[in-house]
Amino acid sequence: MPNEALKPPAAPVDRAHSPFHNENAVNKPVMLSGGKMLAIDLEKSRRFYAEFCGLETVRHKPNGLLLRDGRHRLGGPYWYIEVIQRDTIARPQHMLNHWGIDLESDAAVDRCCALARHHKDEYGIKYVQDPHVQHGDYAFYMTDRDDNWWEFQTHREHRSVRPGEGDIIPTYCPTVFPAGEPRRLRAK
Amino acid sequence: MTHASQPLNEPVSLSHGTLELFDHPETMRFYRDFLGIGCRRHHKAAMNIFHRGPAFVACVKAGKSLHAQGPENAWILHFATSEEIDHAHESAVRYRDLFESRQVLPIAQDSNGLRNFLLQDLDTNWWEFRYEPGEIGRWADAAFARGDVC
Repeated sequence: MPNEALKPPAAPVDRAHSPFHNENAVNKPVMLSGGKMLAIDLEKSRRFYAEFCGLETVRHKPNGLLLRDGRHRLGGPYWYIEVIQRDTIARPQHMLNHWGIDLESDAAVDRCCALARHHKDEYGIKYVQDPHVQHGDYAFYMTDRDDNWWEFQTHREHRSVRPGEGDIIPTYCPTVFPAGEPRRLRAK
Repeated sequence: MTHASQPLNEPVSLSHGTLELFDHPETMRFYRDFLGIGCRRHHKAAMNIFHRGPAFVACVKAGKSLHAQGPENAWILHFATSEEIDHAHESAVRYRDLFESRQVLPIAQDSNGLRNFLLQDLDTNWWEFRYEPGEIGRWADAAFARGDVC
């Protein structure tokens, strides 16, 4: 089954043609490029990221680690996760704060789940859910040694969540700014 | 850099992250009208946000069971210039009440040219407004090329 994610990264969204952007927004960022999470022992967690998840890792600072997938080899933009080391994690994450990793097939998801259970102690994996079908994906969740949640999934059908298809539920109600606003950065 | 020669799994991609919302309408205004990112309501309980990258963040309505977040789990927005960080910060303070932002922290700058600040939004999620030198979408390339610092 072809997996859309195998294709090279799509060209950057053209703001002028995206119905989901506000051309008059206060800010004009270049890219939403990833996020951050915590780990208690970077070297122990790094083994999980690199050896189990198959992500690339680098210690970019003494208390920090960067993660990325292999799509950078295709030459396009990519996401990265910045992992910061702390002695304790005051706010453990929950299922709805997970990172999602796409795999090639249902079989790859089943295999990944079996490997998670087999190597649970080696990588400090705390919880492994059974794979199941949800919103067109076949997936399971697991937690790593730092209580960060991961979803390993494959897409069984065209994703209803792809950008560019329109709001299913019209929710957007534009902000009412004070007269003459929002202020913008003057072009040089 | 470490990339296991034979990892147990071979991912196609790091495809998404997720966050929790109290509800959708006010947050959608913040995403589209303040942050300037794409936001699409695709489900009764969820919407996706995205902006030029290959991945997206799924934003799920959690209501009162939402788990408050800290700055250590911030989402990263890159900007093209250092001046845009100043503008974003000034605007974040100016429109703090309009978008119900909880906190706007001061701008910081490091010796490598990274300039940033953190904002906590109405749903307790944190956003890092970041400028750092580098090719668009490939800011981590230099770090990976340098290799481990320790």
